Amino acid sequence: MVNSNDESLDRSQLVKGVLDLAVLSALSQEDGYGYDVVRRLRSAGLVDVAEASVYGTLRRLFATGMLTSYVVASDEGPHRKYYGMTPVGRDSIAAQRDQWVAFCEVINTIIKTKEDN
Amino acid sequence: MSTNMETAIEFANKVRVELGHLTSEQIADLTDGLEADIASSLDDGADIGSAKKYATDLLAAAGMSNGVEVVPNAVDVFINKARRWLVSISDLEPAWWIFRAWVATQLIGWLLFRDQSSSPGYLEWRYMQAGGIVVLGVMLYLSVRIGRAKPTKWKKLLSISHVVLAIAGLAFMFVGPRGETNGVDNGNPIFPRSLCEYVPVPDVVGLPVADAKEVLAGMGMAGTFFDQEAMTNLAQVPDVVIVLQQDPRGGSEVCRVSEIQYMVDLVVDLAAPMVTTSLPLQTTPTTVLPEESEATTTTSVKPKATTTTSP
Repeated sequence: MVNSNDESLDRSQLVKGVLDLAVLSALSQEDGYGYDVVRRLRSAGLVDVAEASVYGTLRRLFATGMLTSYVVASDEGPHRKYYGMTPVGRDSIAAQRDQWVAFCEVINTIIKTKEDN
Repeated sequence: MSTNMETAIEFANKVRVELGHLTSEQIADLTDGLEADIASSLDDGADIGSAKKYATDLLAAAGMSNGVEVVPNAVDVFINKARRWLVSISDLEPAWWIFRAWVATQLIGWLLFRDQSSSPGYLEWRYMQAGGIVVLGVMLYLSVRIGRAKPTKWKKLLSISHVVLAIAGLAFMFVGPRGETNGVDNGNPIFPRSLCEYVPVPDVVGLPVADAKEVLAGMGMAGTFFDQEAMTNLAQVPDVVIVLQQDPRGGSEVCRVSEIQYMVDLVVDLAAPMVTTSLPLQTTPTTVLPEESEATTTTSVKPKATTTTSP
């Protein structure tokens, strides 16, 4: 689990850069509603992700065609809005995952080089 | 509907107000299903923070925080204003809690005292102010507890009671004060006409206090005494002091209810010369003037008494 209070890196900025990938990945196995996605991210260790940021990201990914959406009515109150992956989204996950891995390798290389020196 | 869901609906509306610069379509797109998500978050014990911060995060993540030029049309402006007004109304909830406690107190007063007169409760509480304040305190406590707890199983009952209290409140505010059954006149409660016996007030101006009291008592009335100089209510007045003014005036008709004394305001001057007299036993009272301690006067007094002084 990663905490934000004991480090000098601006985690909110780090999260912002990979939130699309994190959200898409959280929905890659199973459809879910907004807070469901928040729960999945938090249980995976992204404990300080802001709910509203996740909901905004879901709307944007839906608008760009990476997610599909449907509404499930509730007897106890307002409906829930569920999100699921689209083929475009799955392609995007693959591409973004490759980008992230490549990016991490670059950063790791830089960090390792500094440590060796 | 759970308490968290009600809170979530209220919060989501506040978020929509914060997004008021967008079109209705954009707001709906951004916040559709938000209530259910927020309610789930509250169920997990999360702190949802302020609506303003929430809206800012939502906009930023949705990629709409910068460079979005939106000109809401007239319908959007109207909807946003209505939404803002509704949210502001919900912020007034504590005022409603106080109001309904007040109305409930009046209703209890009316129920307790309606046999004594048909006037609304606040008239009766007037004579039991301490009791009224205690009841109001209890009603306030209950009202706030109910308001904050919002127990769902009582929701229907609460809705019905709100309608009853609202109607009763309007009745107390508008019907009561205009009716004949409200208020106090000259220290006397105003009663319904059906209970009234209209009697003339005897003219006691010029009479010594002892006589004035006797004459008034004969009509089922009593006097409230005031000093002319200080205009203060006097607990005790010497019997020999002369009544200088009265209210209501002699001869005017007033509503008197059996067994309830009608109070007449009487003005006296404690610094004025005093008269030793009595009515009707003594028809030739003796007046003693302070400055002429040995002078005596003869006065002929009939029901309307006057004092004449001779050298």
